[in-house]
Amino acid sequence: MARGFAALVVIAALARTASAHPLDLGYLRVHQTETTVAVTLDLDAGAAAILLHQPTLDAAAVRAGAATLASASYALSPITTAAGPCTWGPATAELVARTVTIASTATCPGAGERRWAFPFVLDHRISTKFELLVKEAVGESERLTLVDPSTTEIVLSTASAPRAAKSSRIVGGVLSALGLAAFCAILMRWRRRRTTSTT
Amino acid sequence: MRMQAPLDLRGQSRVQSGEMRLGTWIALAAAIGGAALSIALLMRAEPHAEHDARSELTPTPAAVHYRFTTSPEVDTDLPGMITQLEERVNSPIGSPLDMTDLAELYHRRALQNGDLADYQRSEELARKSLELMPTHNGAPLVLAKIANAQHRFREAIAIANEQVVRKPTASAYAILATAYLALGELDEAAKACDAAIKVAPNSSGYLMRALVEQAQGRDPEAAADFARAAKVEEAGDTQGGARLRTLWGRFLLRRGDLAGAALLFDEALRIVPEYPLARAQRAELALRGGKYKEARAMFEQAFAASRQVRYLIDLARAQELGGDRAAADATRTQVERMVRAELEDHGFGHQLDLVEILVDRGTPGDLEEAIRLGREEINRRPSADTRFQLARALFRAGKRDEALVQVRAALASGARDARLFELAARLETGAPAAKYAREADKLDPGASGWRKLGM
Repeated sequence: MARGFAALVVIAALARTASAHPLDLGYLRVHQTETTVAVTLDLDAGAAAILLHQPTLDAAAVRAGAATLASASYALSPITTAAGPCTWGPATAELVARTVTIASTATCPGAGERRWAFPFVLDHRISTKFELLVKEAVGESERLTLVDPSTTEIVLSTASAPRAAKSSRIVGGVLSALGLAAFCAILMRWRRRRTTSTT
Repeated sequence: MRMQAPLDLRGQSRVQSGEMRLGTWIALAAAIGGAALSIALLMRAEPHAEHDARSELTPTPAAVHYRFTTSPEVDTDLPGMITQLEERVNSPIGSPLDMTDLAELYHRRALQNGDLADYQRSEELARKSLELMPTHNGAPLVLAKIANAQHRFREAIAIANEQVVRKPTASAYAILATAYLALGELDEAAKACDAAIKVAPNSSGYLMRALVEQAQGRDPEAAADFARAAKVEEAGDTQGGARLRTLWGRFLLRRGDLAGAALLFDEALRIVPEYPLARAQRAELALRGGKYKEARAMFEQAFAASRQVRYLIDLARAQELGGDRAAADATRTQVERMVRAELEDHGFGHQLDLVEILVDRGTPGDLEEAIRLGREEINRRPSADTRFQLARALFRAGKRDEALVQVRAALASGARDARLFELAARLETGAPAAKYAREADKLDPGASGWRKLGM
């Protein structure tokens, strides 16, 4: 009873902190470089169990089923580019609390436009209400796209690498400083010449 | 003269050489300085308030410490218990009371994982049990809990009151307290809490009372009850331990006690490292401290672990405060789609979330809809939070007088929140405005801009 009471407390206390039930949703994080697309998919354990055709899941079953989970979800359809499809690498999966996290990286033939379809959402493999929220890192910002059963495919943002952008800014800063130094040197030389000509 | 010329030339050469060396040194210093400056600018910490803001409410580390093992294996095996009881219910020896117990377990699991199917199963079992055994059966309480979860608070109160007349249990009082708190009827909620604690002075009872006292603005009493809840907690419920500390920390965070809040969130995350609510509250703390990137990352983690739309709304706030308005708007657009779909499906639960999103985005059309929905929500659930969101919509739409009515009503309930005080300061004039501005500063130290967002 005490635990039931505690649970009730949550409903009252969290009415505005978190909703009473989670969304029937997968959360896909995408990080691109010129040649790769690294993805991490968070799914409810129940949804993962459906994809693995098992009634319940434990940590060992999730680890063992990583490849199946990937190929039954985001890797069901390849990411396509003008130069051909991207190739999925090995997948890992782990269960933490009630969330199954599946991760892998695809290698792409080039940096052009990348298109991605999600038949596992379209075909209601998990449920008729299931949707996928895709988050892409875009430079220093991020973009969220909701994939529902009416979404045939998405076009990924142009590949970007925030780290590289940061490094390039550092390099830019150093180059600016060197430019400033060169300017100072020229100024000194000019002053010296002026002193010489005056003398 | 001839002798002098070489001397002059040599002197000039020395001067030139000295100037060259000086030039080189200046150039080198400029290069190093410029590089250091550019790196420092890139690596600089975002502006943040110190987390050393303490108050008389700050608990001691000993009071906060969870003294039991944090291994999840010690927690009750809910799925195992459900499987066992399902077998019993489906066997010839299964009784209506077994059905009620099973309904209770499904309800408990539904609260943990939010699975609507578990709510449905729980309700089916409770109703079936009640059909077979209409009296001396706890099934109505399960139905009352489900009504609360579905925001049918008046129905929950009616059922629980009937049960209290028959047998005054802590569980029935807890249902009443939950419903009254959600409705903003705080005196009734406090009475129900006192009655529950009288029957069973346990951790959940004290926690509930602390939450009601917090809503009433009775801060010392709330702090004492949070501490009591921790003191009498029992082993075997790590989620409960983490939840208690997170709610306690949230209370302190709302009172501007950042140090106390940090202590509690850290302890909650030590007990259950992936606990989404604690992670989200840690993000809120970072947000108030101006650490926007950190806040964004933690809100995202909380969302990934829980898929609660609430954390996406918070993520959008962090994005906007971090200067990325485009990302914030994009996030809100996606959240709006999800919430509208949810509302169509279930018709309850997320309406105030939608109001918040609409007000945050704040186009004239958004505000008009937010006001309409906010007024509907006030009729269902006139809590301080509902009033605050409606007041914000009215204020942004230029309806200051109506906004002030809602703000005053929220303040009259005892609500103490930096954002509410900020809005009150903007709506009131003269001495009251100054007073509310001071209160807002007190509860939200630092200048993160957090409380001014969406006003």
